[in-house]
Amino acid sequence: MKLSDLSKGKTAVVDQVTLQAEHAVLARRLFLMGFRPGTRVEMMGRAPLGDPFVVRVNNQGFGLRRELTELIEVSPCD
Amino acid sequence: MTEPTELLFVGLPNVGKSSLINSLTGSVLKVGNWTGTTVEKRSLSWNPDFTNETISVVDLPGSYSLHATSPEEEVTKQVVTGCDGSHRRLLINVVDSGQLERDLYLTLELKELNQPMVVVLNLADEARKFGTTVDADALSERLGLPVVSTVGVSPLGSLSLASHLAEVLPSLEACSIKPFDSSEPDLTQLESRMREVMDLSAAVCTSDPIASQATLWHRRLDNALLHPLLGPLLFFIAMLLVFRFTFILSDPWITFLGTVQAVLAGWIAALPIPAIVASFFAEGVVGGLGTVAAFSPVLFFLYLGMSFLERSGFLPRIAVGADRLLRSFGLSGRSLVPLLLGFGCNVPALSACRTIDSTHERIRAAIAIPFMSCGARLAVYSLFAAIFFPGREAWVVLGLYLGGIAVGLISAALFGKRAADESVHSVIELPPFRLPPFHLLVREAWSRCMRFVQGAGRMVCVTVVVVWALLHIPHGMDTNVMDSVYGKVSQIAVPAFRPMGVEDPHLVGALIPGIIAKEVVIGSIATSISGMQPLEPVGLGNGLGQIGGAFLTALKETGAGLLALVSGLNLDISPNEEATPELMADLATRTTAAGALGYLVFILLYTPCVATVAALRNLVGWRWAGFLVVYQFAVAYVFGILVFQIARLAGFS
Repeated sequence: MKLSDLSKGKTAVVDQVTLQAEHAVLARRLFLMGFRPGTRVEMMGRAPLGDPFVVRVNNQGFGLRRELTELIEVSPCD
Repeated sequence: MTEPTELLFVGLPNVGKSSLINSLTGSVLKVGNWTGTTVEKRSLSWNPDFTNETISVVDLPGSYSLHATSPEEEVTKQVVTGCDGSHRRLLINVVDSGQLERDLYLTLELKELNQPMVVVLNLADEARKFGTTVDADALSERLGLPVVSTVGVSPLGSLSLASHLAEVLPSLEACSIKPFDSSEPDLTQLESRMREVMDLSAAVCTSDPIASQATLWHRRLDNALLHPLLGPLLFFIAMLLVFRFTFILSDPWITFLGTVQAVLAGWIAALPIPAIVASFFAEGVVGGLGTVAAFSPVLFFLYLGMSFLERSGFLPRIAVGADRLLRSFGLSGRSLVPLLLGFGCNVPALSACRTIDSTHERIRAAIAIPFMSCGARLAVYSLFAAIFFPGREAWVVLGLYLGGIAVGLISAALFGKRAADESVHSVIELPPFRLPPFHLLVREAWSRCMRFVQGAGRMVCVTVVVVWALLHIPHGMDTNVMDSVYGKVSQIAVPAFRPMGVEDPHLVGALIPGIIAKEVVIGSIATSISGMQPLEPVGLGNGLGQIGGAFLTALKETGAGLLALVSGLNLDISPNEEATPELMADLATRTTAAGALGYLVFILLYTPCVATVAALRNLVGWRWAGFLVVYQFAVAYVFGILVFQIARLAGFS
């Protein structure tokens, strides 16, 4: 499932970050930030207006816009 | 000696590099609990106790990697890899003890450069609170590099680093040139190095699996800020407090500085020199300095409030909250606080734009900010609204504020290039909440305030002197303003303002000093109508007495203001001292209600004060600043006329 579909308070493991070739730099940045296969990501919720999404990776929070969360494939843990 | 020894501070964003430098050297770099506080290379000279050599301390923008992913990281990469072999340098790699898995990647990259280097485990106290302990000796052994632990914000927290430096600096060799392989790593290379990082981090960290009390508290606060109702409410209260705090506490000090200025002018008037020379110094030079000084209390307190929001970690949360709203105008959440600060004063608002990492967005925010109606413009609105719209003042004032916001945001959306993939790129890092030490906030606010005074001061002073000259040419001390160049220019300009419903040369003329500061508009109208008042000489002792008295009053009112801050939340508009009942009655005859509206819209939108222009120049350069000055004048002119014509048709005459 997409990271954007993960419900609030749930944790998932990142499977894949699918970015177009022209976003190689961003892909690398996300990788270094912790968005890479195998890391656990927790959905903290969304900003009051519904976007961006707030997630937590390795004890660090991030605000990601919806477009970006749709490019991150995750498998939920239960 | 050749080039001084360099200490290069390198690390990820928001790991406390600047704080550590402040603690180590006792100087003040701007610090924020906010990614991207340092967006350019900054260096300072340091004379440590342990050597008589002067050392150059370089603060580099936060980087995830030497393979740059942003313009700031490019700066870091250039500096770190750009060794020319001519001088001695030491890399100081600052890492967040609680985020080793994230931070050691850069450490490994730096290590490959084979340069003298020390790893600093910063924020060790915070990591422990979150349940992570790092074994510094084990890390040092595995990396083969010296490792020291520090707590950047505490005064003694950097002692370990200082003593390490005292030990290694004397024997430091000149750096050796080693070519840097700048080809971008592919995913396999990234992954293999990341595995190395994870192994390393797992070997040296012990984490307490039970979520400590501290983490819980952080989560609760984060959840509250993300709540659809509670979040905006908390944010609104925080901003209200910052503004109230600023205006209540700065007001007594503005009055105090006004007294100092009047006394200085009085002393000059008492000197045995020709009246015109005395007037030049008292009203031109001292007047100019006084205008700069009068800005500083507001700036100081706004910066203090801002520093708190920045260092505590609220700022990035606010940015996330407002992102959706601002996206429609090509801005992002990062622009929200700068825009809001604009309602207090445009100058700190523009300097807050430096935290926006996208250049395009920074320019768009700079376009919008001068249209945010600052506190000084409010003084003009409240007087004219009271005269021409009794009973409906609040609606007029509210309408002007909303109009400014609309024009500002639309202008931002119209200008400035939009990078195609900006929406994807906007990732906002949310650091842990931190309680900033008060003395650091004060020091920082003070230094930012002084930087403004030094930076914009000259421009403001020159403009004040020019206006003084316009008022006194060609008749010297002649008191009839309308015969001076100022008066002539006002009269020449009148036809241009006729379509706006403003035909009175006194009102038109006041727009000229209004470019210096919107605070002086009312005073200029008063002077221009009633004539210039001759300078009152003041004796030495008498003047000192006045300054002393004013100082005590300011102290007393600051105390009272602090009490009022916690006791109630009424936002009152203070009455304008310069507006006597006679002046109000006189003004009522000088234009119509529709004309007053046109005039106020013009005041709202036209060329901002010189201090703002100076801040614009610093932020986006002369060319943009020059363009914006012209653009704002044009927008103000068009909207002033439109509003007057519509109001006239609607029957406001």
